[in-house]
Amino acid sequence: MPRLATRGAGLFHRRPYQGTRLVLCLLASLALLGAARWARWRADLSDVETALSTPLPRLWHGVEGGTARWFDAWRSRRRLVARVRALERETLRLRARLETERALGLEDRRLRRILGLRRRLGVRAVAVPILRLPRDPYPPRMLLARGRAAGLATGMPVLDLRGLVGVVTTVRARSALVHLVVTRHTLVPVEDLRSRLLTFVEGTGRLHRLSLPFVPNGSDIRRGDLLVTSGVGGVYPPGYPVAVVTRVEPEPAYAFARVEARPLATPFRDRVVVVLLRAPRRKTEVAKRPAAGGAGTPPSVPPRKETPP
Amino acid sequence: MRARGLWLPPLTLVLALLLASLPWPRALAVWDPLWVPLVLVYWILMLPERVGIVTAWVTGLVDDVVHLTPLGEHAAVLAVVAYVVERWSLQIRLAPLPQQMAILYLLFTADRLLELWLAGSPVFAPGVFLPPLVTVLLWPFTRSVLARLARRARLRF
Repeated sequence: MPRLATRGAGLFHRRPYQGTRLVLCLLASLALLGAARWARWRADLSDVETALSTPLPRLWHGVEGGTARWFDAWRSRRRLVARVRALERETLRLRARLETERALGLEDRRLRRILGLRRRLGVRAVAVPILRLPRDPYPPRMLLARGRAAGLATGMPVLDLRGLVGVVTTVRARSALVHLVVTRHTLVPVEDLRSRLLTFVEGTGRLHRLSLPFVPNGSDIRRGDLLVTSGVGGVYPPGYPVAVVTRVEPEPAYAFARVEARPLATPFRDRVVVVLLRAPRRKTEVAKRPAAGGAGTPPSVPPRKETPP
Repeated sequence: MRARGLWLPPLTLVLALLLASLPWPRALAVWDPLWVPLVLVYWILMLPERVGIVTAWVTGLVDDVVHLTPLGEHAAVLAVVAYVVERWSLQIRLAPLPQQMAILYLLFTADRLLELWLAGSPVFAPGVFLPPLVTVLLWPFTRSVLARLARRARLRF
């Protein structure tokens, strides 16, 4: 860089006055420091100072904060996107699981009721999955997924959560056929839970209707009565619900009234049924019960009524 | 010949002030170079007729304002440093780089010591000796960058 000869560039820029300039500067500093220390306008000065000095740090602060915020925003955006994706996946998974859980819960409730059923029955029973229900409902039969290997045998009653389903009629090694109570001409000895009237229900062949063919006119039976198995005959254990009376029509021209009932069991909606492993044989519990209605009446005879029709 | 490009020294000084007020990470704060003396020394060496003690004092004043130190503290220190540099500018300019760096190291250390002494803080601390070292290590780099800038700006006085 070319150096030119010293030119007059103002009082303080002349080389010869170096010492003077330094002393002057130092004096000025001292004056300022002293003034700052002793002057009454110290507060004002510091105010001015603050006003002058805040922009720079604030600028840096702003730049720093801005970049930090930007980075932060970028990072948190990425994090958020990742998190949202993860949550979406999680939601899907959980929803699927929730459905499974719901189904499991239903099944669990069903199984629990079945277990409770077993306890209530006090007999050895086994829960058996339903393999298949034939499309053709006539005759309605149910194929079970267990057979002789699981201890099933012919004549064992089959129940579901709501009521009596039927009786095992054919047993193979690993499957069994159930004869449903709604099958035509199937008779089940029942008892009216309210009036203790003993009678039979008969399958009509229709899935949702049973008839009570041997109820004399004027018997104590009403619409809405619950019919449970009476235990008469020893095939079915006593006290298990079978049907609800839906219709009672006296028919004066005949000895028996026209009575219809709706079966309680819903074999077409079940997945699991209970098979009682040892059907109580020839042990009519009815005889032991306190006399009610026609206690001890032979099952083949229609129940005797206290009040003749 | 008219002087031109004289906006460069003030601009670089302002940049140095900005750098000096830059918030450093705490771990690096001890190493924080003395940006203002660094740039100032360069300009005093290059333009002794234009940049000198008074410029240094004013710069120090601004530094004081920026750093919220008592007004006149940095100013006095920088004036002293500027005095030394200006007084022996020809010799320093002609010295080879290592020697130059040694001299500047002493100068910067003196600057720091004076500053701490004026501020009333303990003098013998890593904060006294490390920043001058870093500053001096930056010196060749600064010199070349500022020289290039001056050439680019066709600095003439």
